[in-house]
Amino acid sequence: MPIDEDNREIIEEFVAESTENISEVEAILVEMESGTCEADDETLNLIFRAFHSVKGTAGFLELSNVVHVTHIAESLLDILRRGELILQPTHVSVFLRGLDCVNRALEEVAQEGTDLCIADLSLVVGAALQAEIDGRTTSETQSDAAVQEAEETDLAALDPSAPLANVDADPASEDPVAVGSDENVDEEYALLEEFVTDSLERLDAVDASLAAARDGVVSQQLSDDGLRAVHTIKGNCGFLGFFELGELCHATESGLAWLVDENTNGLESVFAAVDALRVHIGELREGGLGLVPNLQTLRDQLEASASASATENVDSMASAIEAPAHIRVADQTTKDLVAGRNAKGVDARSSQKQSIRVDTGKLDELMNLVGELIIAENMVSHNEDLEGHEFESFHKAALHLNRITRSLQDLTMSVRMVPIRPTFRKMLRVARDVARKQTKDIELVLVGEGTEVDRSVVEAIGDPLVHLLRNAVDHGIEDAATREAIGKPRKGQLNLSAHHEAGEVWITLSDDGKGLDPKKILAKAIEKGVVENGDGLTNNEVFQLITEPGFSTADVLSDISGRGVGMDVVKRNIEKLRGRLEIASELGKGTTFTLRIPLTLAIVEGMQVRVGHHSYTIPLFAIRESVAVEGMSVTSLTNGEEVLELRGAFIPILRMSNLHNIEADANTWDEGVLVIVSDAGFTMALFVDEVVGQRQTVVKPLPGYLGTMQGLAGCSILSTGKISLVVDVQTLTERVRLAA
Amino acid sequence: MSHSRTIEDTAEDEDDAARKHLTFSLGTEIYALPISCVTEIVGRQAITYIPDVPHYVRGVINLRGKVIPVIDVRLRFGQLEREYDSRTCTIVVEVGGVCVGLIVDAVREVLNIEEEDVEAPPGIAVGAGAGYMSGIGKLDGEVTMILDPGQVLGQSSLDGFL
Repeated sequence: MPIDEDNREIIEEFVAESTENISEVEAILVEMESGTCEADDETLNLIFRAFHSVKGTAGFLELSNVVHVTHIAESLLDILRRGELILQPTHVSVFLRGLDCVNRALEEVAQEGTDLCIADLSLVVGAALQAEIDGRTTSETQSDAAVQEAEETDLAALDPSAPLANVDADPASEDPVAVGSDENVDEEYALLEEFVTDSLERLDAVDASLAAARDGVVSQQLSDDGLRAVHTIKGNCGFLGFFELGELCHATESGLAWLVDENTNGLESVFAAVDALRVHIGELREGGLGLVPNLQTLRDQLEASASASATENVDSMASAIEAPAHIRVADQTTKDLVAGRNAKGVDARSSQKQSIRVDTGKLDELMNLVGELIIAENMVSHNEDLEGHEFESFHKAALHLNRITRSLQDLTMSVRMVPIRPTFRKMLRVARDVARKQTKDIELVLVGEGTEVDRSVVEAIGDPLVHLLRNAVDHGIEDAATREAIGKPRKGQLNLSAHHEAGEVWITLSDDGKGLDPKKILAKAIEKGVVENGDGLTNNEVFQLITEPGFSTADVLSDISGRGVGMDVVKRNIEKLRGRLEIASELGKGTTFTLRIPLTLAIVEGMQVRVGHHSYTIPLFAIRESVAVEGMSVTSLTNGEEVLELRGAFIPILRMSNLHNIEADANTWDEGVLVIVSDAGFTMALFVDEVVGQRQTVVKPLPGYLGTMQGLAGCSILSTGKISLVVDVQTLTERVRLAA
Repeated sequence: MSHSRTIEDTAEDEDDAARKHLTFSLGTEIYALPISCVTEIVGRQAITYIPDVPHYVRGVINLRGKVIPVIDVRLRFGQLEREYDSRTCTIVVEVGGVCVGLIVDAVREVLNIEEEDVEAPPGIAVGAGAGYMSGIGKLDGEVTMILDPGQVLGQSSLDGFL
């Protein structure tokens, strides 16, 4: 089924929100299981709400399979919440299965708007959940047995009327849906939810027109907008059977109609009516019945102000102005009541108001524009025409412009920043699953969850972290018996932390496992032909060998790791982010992996070099060092290749002038500089005339018209307006390696 | 071949825009480009050399922060290379979303070329540059070769040429 355009936005939001909800619940469940988080009412409510909100929208989108799973999960939670059942590890497992199931469906939902892929799975998982509910009298029932049993009585479990009839006794304090299991109720609730959201939005629009009117801007357009909005709400109220709300809408409409005639006298009473509408419609969410206790008063005020403006009688005007004040007080009490009833909900909503969802494409575009602005600012402030002149006021203005652009850049980057928390929380689940499979006892401690990183970074580090974590549990942490024997605590300690450091975010995963053995790694590397011999390699360089493709020290292949692709993937992913992976390890004590990733991707730290009159920018992360050739040993091989001997290793030299067929000033070795770059463990030297300096640059792609450029990652514009080509070290080293 | 129009106000304007051509010269020859594909004319620019491209692609220029490739039209048409001087201009054209600068000896003027003044290319020409013409215009006794900008640029990507 293709996604209906009208629904697309809802679906996208649903998927995004549900994914967030699920990962949060996942983390909580894992914490509950390990005992780091108490299974108190609040936590259970939190989980309940998460399932519930997924169910609500899923119902609206007719995702019956998702509704099925979330609904039964909700029922089980409700029983737990009421203390009829104590949370068991089996419950956590079955909830996690439920989440996995929904997660799987979300992918399809995002693409197709349907959840058919979990049609079978949802029945099985639903049955497993149902089994837990049915088994509440015999709480010792083994989960597996229960699942088995439930799967046999699949259909019985699906009977909506069976166990849920007695679920709730107090409809007023509960969401209406929790009461029954009938799907109609679900749909009705979704409808209601939509009505509330929609109406509140429309009321915001009315408020805007009213505010404009108060400021003296009275236009047909504004009042028409307001009228239409209220009218729509009125219609919906009638449809949903909220007659008192409908009447209030009607009265408000009349009030608004008066305003069209430039009569702003009755404004306050209309404001009051709109406020009342907002409160009472909002109450529907908390199970309100759409009643308007002070309907008559409000209506009177509206009429009074309307007639007051009509007759322009000063006295009644006064009363009209006085009266709304009274209404506002009455209103306030209603608000307080609502607040008292569900303080949390109100808080959540008011904090929601302060943020908006923005299309990430727009954020990217904004970042691009800011990049352009920085270039433009550079071109103005350091314009060649200014050379040799002293313009005092120009310099002041330029300085001011510079400050503003920098702040704008900082702000734009900060807008793209999101806390790393959700990614970290996901790791709790991963660690749990791996540890279970391995029957190892571990504890994962998260530090610096609030650390903010660019959203593209968040997306890209998920996989590498999973790999690293799996490796750490699989290879790093010893089993409990071994740990005890060597005097370590039984429980393996894993630390995942994040913090900012010098324009980078450092993500560190450390374990207190057996550590890496440099000798073993080296032996393996030589055996696999990754290196010839280990002469002159430091321990850290040896550790880097494990990131080579096809390298794995695991003696046994396991389901989890050991195929030797993991670390390779990690490294590739980190490099895509222009970051680097550092490995430190002490044999017997543990290993620490540090991911160093630049805070943003659009701006790169680069070394600017010159070859003849051509300018190149080499990304700093690929540069190991730059050396003057003088005093170095350079050998020309018989095939014309040139190699540099550096600390015992032979490094191939690539002359940039030869590569690009350009004229260089430095033709003999002592006239130029060698920049040592490396990628994927392969090191080479680029021969250039001179190093000009280091600077931050905005990398732009080369025009597509030119086709794909070998060895160039793009270009960047210098402050002089000249273009500098950005060297793609990865493809260059690959090219040289293949030729070798 | 249709080109994206910059002016679409009235039918008259559209007609006008369709007739308007920018003429430029290479040596003694006069060429015309439909004005609808011309975005601007800039003087000589500092060109950054790009390796591994056809010889007529001179490199890229920085057009107010936008990096665009530049083609030497003389080289494109197989004519002799000529030193750039003060009259050398870069005509920036946009065809099918691709923005390219065309380096020409000199820009002349904007002309209205009426349909009746245009003849189809003779078709017997086999020399270099024959395929780039969409017609021949006769104006004030001078022969003007009307160019098809899409053909001048070639493919939207040069991958095929490499």
